[in-house]
Amino acid sequence: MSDAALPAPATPAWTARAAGRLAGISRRSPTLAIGAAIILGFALLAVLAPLISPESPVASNPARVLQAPSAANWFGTDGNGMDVLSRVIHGSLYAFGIAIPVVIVGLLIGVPVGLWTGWTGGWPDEIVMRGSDALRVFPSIILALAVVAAAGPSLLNVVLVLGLLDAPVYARVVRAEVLSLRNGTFVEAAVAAGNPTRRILFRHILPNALRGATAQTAVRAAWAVRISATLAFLGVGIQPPTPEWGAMIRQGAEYMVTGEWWVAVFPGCALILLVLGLNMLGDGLADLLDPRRKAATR
Amino acid sequence: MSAPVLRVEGLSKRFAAPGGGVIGAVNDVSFTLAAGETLGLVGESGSGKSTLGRCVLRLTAPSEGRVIFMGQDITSVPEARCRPLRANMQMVFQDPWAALNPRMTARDLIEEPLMLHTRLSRAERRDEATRLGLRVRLPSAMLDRYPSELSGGQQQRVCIARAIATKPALIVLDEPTSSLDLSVRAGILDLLAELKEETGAAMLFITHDLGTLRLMADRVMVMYLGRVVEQATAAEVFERPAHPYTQALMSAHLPADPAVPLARHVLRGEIPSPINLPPGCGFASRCPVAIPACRERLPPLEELAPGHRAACLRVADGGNRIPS
Repeated sequence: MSDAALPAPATPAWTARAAGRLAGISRRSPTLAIGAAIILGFALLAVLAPLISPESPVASNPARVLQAPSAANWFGTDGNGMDVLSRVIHGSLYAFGIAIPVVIVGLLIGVPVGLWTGWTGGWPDEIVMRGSDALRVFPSIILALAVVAAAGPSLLNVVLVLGLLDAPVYARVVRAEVLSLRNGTFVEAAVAAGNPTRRILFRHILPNALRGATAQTAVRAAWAVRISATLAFLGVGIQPPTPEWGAMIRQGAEYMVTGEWWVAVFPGCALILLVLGLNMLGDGLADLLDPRRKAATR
Repeated sequence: MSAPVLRVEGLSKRFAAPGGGVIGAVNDVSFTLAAGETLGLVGESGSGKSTLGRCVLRLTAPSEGRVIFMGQDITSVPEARCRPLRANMQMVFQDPWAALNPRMTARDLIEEPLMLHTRLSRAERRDEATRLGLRVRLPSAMLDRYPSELSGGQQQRVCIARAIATKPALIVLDEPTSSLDLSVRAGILDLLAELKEETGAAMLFITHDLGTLRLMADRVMVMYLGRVVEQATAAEVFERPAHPYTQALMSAHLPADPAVPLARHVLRGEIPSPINLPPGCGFASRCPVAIPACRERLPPLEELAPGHRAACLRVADGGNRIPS
């Protein structure tokens, strides 16, 4: 009787349900929530850049070179008289424009390679894994520097080189999961059911082998943002006056000694914040996707 | 009796032991299985039951011997040519949780064999999966769930629905109930007994549970250290076990009637290591009626009565009964 007296719970609208889920996730993993919030903030900046930035990022004005932050130019102006705030905002567009394609290129190369080597084993596995060891042992920044310097400092070249350097990371985690799934019972059950190898690989193994790679994407995106900024800083990546953070820091570095700190510090802070956000998201994702890690933190 | 669905001749499977040496998991096993017949395969852990089941389905390649399935020698057929045959031979695994792809719904899993082996349209497959689901008593609402959202018994029902989807001639059941709770086990066994009558499929029923064996098996094959020690009808094995190992095994089974006097034969001694087996009978080290010859000569599987065969030297001199 007392049950009947209770009001029937109304089915929540999908927005309310989604909000409930989000709240649940952020309670379980505040790291993930903060990381996601930071990235969402930068994504909004990137998408809305043309609307919200006060000026064009490349509008130089010789009349206001190297002016300190003020009400007119919140982040000050740089050596060309360009508005630093507008350039920092547009820089987020470049950060995403590099990080996302790098991760995609890395996944497109790394995941199939990991799947194939993990499944076949034997000499292809040996060769590919030793090759990827060699790539990993070599400092990636030096390799990237050399290749970009040789191929030319275009956005496309930077993306391709970083993506290629990133692929072994995904290949490795996918391979490890394929190795442990390969002799598992449900794969044997799939063989017993008469599945062709292709279907076993793509329908049965692959969807169960992407956990590690998924958790890696955010961390590797942070790496891509960092390395591409480093390349630009060293002068072989994206060239000024393109509003890329690394290139901006490079320009601003010259003025640090003479006291015009704002040219380098603001893009530097943006870079640090985005890399931090991506790393936090990656950590949170790893916790969420790996049941063993989750159990350990509970 | 019709032509056998499955004939196994002199099947052996050896593995390389980690520290060198050879593990003989299955040694020189022969048997036949007729349509509609259920052969119970019993033995303790490590006796080679599961390996034998896997060899029969070509999930592992046997080292020696032949497997003839529906008149076709499948021992050395390449996997690609085995695939169409798999519509006719299916398997139910011990642990349903491990045997189901966690990223596929129950419906996807049941539809998979239909998709692989029949020309049914998408809609027809859907209907057939629903029908199969109902057959194994899974309401259609359950079919849209993932394995993690189903109980152990429901997961095993999904596995069984998968196995009967293509109306196979042979189903290998590898301890299908041993990972389930007792209450759930009864339901699954009832279902399997019904399906046995209904589908007419030959079943190779691997188990170490004698109660299950009694319920399901028409004939029984007892394995010890990879060798068949006794082969007979289920009734014969339960009532007149000939091999001392079978006698000890049967004495471990509690009859449902408490008035029946119990004869317990508790075995002493150790199972020899399966690596580099001693020459004689594998059971000699634990056998209460072993004679010196048992440790030297491998007893052949000899016919005692029509359909009843045992591998024990003591059968000839009548000394095979364990005194109680």
